[in-house]
Amino acid sequence: MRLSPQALRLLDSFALRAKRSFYGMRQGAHRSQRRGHGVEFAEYRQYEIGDNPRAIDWNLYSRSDKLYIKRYLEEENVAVYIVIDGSRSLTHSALRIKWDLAASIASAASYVALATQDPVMISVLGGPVSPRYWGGKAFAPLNQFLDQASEIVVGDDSVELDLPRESRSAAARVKFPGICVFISDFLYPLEIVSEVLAPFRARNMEIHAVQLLTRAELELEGEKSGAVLIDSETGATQGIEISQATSRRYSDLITRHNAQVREHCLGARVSYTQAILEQEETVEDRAIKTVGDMGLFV
Amino acid sequence: MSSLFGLSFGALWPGFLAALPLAIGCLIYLFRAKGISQPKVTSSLFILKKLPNFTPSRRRFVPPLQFWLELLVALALVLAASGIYQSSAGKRIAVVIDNSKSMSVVFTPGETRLEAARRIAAVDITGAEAGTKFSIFSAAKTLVEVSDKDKATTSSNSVAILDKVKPGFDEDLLPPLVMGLAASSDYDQIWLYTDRTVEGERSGNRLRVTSLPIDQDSLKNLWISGVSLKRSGESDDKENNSQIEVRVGGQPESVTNASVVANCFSPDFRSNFNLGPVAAKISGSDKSSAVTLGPISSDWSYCCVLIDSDAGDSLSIDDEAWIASSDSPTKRVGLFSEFSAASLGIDSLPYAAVSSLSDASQADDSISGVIYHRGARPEVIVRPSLIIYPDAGAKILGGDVGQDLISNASGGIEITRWDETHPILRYARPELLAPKKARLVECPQGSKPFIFTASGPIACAGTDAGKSFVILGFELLPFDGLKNPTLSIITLNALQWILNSTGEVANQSGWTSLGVFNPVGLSDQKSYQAKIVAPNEIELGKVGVDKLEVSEPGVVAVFSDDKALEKISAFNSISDQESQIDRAASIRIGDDILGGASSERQSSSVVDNKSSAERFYNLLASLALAVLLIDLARRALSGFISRRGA
Repeated sequence: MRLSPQALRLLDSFALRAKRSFYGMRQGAHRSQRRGHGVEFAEYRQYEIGDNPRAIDWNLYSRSDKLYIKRYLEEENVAVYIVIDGSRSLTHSALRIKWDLAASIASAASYVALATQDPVMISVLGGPVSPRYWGGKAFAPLNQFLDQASEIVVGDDSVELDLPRESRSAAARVKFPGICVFISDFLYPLEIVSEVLAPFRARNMEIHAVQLLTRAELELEGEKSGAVLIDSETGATQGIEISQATSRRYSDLITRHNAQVREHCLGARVSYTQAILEQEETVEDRAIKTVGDMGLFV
Repeated sequence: MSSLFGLSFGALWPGFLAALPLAIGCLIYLFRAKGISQPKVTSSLFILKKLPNFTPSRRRFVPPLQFWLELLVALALVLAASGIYQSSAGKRIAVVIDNSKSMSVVFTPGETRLEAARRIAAVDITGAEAGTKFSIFSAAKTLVEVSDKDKATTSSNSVAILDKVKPGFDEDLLPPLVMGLAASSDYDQIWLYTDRTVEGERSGNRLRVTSLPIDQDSLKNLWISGVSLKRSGESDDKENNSQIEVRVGGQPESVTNASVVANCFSPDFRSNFNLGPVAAKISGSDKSSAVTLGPISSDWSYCCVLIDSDAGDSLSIDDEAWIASSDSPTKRVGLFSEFSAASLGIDSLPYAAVSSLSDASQADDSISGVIYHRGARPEVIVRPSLIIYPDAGAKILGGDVGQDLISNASGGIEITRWDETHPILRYARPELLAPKKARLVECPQGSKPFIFTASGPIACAGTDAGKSFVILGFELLPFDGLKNPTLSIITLNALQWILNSTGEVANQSGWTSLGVFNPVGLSDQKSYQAKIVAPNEIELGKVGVDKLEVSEPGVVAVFSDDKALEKISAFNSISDQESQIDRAASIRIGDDILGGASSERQSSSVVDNKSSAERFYNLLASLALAVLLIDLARRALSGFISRRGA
């Protein structure tokens, strides 16, 4: 179990709230685009042959001498589709903490979603895809899936993943568009970010992008005067001089990149949340905070 | 061995010095790598690529203070491990140049053997490794250090000093001289340059011999092998009574004609007259020929005898001899034997007149030595004595004579050991001796055995009351008839051994000459002035009555204070050994002794080196410790300052 009982108690206070309405698969707690026999009045519609006569608003008929039927908003569940970037920048064994954070965020979001009977499906780009989980009892198998996924995807070799293709493949599996939680570090060019999110946007999903970063990735610091860094995905190495000037320059560059990602997300109507794991912070704490910051769970 | 600041250094284990560049390389690598963290995996180089690339291996290495401190520690430890030691003297080599008479032979046109030896030695010295110090010696009868004593010289100085080695007139006595030099263990090596070959020389031995090649076919020499004054009768009237007998030596198996002439001077040394020339011929197996010059008038002081050969002469300095009017006649040697002197081959010895004695009373003071040949009873033996094959059971001077030894299968007594440093065995090869009969000799007090068989000694020599004696437990005579040259040599050497102890004979008889002038007959109440009158006049100044060193052949006159001539003596350098220049004379130098001395020297050298290295261990270890302490203090201080700053 990735989350402690204390964390789960904290998560119990959250509830999934979709900003948009979707067609659900079954009765649920979310307003659906489907009209029917709900509680909340939605609209009047002229009676057509075939409508149920019992839906006719006879009071309105008496006043207007026309037949209208009352339509109500259906309340259905919302499919939650959690996509985790499975590229080596998260799954390299040396960067395991990022994967753990991603999995913890996925687990926390799933817990909240399952609590409201919303189906949850997890897809690791370049990795396994989970079945659809329903209900609170599915939380344990979901965590099991995450553990198994960890064993599969985490490694210390360099693997370069075609993220846009994997993203398209993952989006193609979506049968019931709903909420998409996309977890990645987005440390790739902006056009790739756009390509990665585009398939889910095309499926008209409510996308919540979560950018995972560690504090060490935001600052270029070290006790030594130089460092040799290895790209987790390509295996390429680069010598870096660690000085105030280069640290400042690096901070500027990554801050600008993150801002561009954020702006891109906002422009694409993608909710953007940044999860920065501080050095003294636990993964669980950061995951709970991130779930709270997403605005998806209230 | 290497030099630095004029000091020579060596290492007991130089292989460890190879760790020095390794240590320096490791230190530089570690200090360069110290500023670079281990390669680290990062999520992506996507942003980092926008930073300037930095190549750690190409960055400039600016060693910090700690690098120098640790380098110093590494240096000290490596040097200590290599056992470095200081050797201020370097290797010491004794260069011994044989300057005996035979080295004056022409080696190549315009160059004598001695000059050739000096030239070869100069090449060797120049080619010696740096730091080597040399001591230059000339060696003939004695060893003379030509270079400064107790101060070895460098190679460049040594080459110049070689010119100080002048031709000598003596016989060479190399084995004991070289062994004496080796025994001093002051030298790492001894380089010997001679015209003789050395047996038993081994590579790795401390002794390195350079033998000049001798072309026996082209060498011809005639020499004066003896000069003596023959007086007829015992009267004091010397007028027309004296003749000069000259013995001319030559190479065997050749026919050579020579003319002998004497150039004599009046008592005032002013006028001169000639005697001769007289023809002498060396032919066939004869090795010598005797001619007589004279009669000579009574008005003469000294003569210079010269020979001239018609077949060329490779050694000129032995063609001249000197004789003085006051020289003593040939020494008389008595013989107790059942055989006559003639049958024993000793009737014409060049330096002694042998006459048979019938009883002990005849061995008076006029007899310089007595040969007791077989059967001589102890009661007739007077000193000095040459006792040959005495009776078994005879008690001679307190010693005893044993029974005959048993011959081996080859019919001779095997000589197993000998004291090769003993003068009687000079030029002899005792290993070639196999006497048919020999008796053990118990050496009397004051004597030493010098020839041994498996059963015990068969020859002793020693001194009793200032007189030398020799006891030989085997047959030595007849002298001339012997085919064994070793026995002849031993006979001559033994006679020389006993006759030398009689005083003036050696100086004045002419057969061995240079050395101490003993002014016998001079009063110790007067003072005298000595002067070399020939070949060049040299004032020697005031002399005492004890002795006067003479180094070149010639004539020495001694005058009293009133300028009266008191004594005149001739000194010659006559040596058949040296004049026989075509001889393939090999000498034997105790290589076992040299080897032993060598190992001793080496071990003492190692001990010296070790003790020197141990001093360096302490020094270097102290240095390493001090540097470590300095480094610790430096780190503590910088830590304190940084904490204060924080």
